[in-house]
Amino acid sequence: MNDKKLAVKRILLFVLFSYGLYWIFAGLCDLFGILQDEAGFQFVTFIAMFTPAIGSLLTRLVTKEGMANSMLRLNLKGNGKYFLLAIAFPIIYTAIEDVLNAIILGAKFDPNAVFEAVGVSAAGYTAAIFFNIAISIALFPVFLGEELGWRGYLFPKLKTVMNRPAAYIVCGIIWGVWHTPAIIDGLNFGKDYMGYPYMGVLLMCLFCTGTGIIFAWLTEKTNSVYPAAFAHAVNNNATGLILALSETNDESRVLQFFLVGTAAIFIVAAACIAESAVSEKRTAVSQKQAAD
Amino acid sequence: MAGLLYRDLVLNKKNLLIMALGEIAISFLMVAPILFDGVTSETEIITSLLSVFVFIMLFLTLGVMTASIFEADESKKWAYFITSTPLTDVSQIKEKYLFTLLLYIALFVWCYFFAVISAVMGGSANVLIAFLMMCIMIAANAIEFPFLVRFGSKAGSHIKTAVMLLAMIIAFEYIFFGDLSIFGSPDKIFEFFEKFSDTSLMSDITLTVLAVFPYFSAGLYFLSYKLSCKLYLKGAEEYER
Repeated sequence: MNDKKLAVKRILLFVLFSYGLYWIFAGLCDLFGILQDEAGFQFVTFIAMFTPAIGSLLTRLVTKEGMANSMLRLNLKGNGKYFLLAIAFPIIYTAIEDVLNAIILGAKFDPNAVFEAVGVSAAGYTAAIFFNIAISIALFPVFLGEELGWRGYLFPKLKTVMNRPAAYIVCGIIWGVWHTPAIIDGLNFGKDYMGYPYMGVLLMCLFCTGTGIIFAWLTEKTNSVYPAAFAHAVNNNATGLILALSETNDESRVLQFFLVGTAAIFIVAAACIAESAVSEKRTAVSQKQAAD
Repeated sequence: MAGLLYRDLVLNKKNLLIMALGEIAISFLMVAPILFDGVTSETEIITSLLSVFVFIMLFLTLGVMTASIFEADESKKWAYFITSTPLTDVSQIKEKYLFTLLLYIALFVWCYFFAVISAVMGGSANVLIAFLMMCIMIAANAIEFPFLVRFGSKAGSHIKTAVMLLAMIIAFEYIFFGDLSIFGSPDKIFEFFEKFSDTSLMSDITLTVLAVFPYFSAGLYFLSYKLSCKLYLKGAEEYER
């Protein structure tokens, strides 16, 4: 079996394991009535987040691949800026999202009103954001469960069978569709929107493609999945307070707000792609000069 | 580094196993009222209060164990053997600090998971306390470890006991002369801890202190690591005394 065929086989197996473990578990929980409230949803999500890591481990085991290139090394030395960027990126694109919500969708952007409603000053609100970031970082092992699968295993394999842009898109789609049980249960969009749940899954694929580009960039720069896990943790747990600065609680426009949020992510993703292109060009030039 | 982490995992496997079983048993205290009495109107309040004490106990138990991670290296032969390996002594210290930090993070994730389990069963848990306890224990270890590295675990544990005695004296001083109104009734205790589960109930100063504290403990831990690197093996002659 040649390398490409083997990579395709491994990708298919990984997807089968990751999807199978999560979807079957979610189905069983639904059957036993665990998924009926918020707590049950959180429980299933918590377990589900480890399924990509388990999927990659099982695939490595079945195809006798071993643990080479698992990207489990921290590689902190010389990569500190990427670890800081991992924490900063979700904050940056959520802030851009706030601005875009106000410009494109006319959402009210009045931080003072928000501080007043919550009953804290700007300093207190900022402190709460930093506190949430700290908790998110401490919870990174949960997100490592996903990142070991998507960025640590799937993305590098996809790159061996297709070009980089295609790999970004396919990885985003696989990651997005994986969320289907959660979207059916109302993740991000609720249940009352046009095209439920298909539109939700479609938008999730777009969102996952955007964030996937950023997380993959962080992983490639450091050759480690930890920055991606940090970024994922901050994205999921610490951006809510920043997003709350613009009034986005109009449920009838949930899809529009999500689409604008995804656009903000793609702005940061484009910057990552541009940086990659520039640094690759630089490396090529320096290699050519060295060869000459 | 992975090899060193594995070595410590093997050297401490008995301690870790006993501790893990203990931590699991303690965690179940949190949901004991649900297991024995089922879900009642007071379940949420009781489990939330219990979670505070359970999380404090879990982190204190782990805190006691962390000092033993340094004990394994404390024979003169072993201490000098370490310097003969290709890894630098800085790597040895880095691994100890990383191993301890990973244990705390693993325990915090466990607390988070158990909070979710408690919620599924109809209870409630205060994860914020677990996070704060983690930061407190990291800060405490940051102070303790340089002493362990310089004077060995025996002297280090004496220093730790002295610090704990000092803390107890301060606590007793507070009990005798401080403001105890918050402990006046169970409601007030619950109210006090409820503020720690909902950031919207906190004042600006509380929020700022809470936000700064995790970064402060992380910084202190890093400084402690740097100090330990400088002190490492300087007290090797005293290890076997």
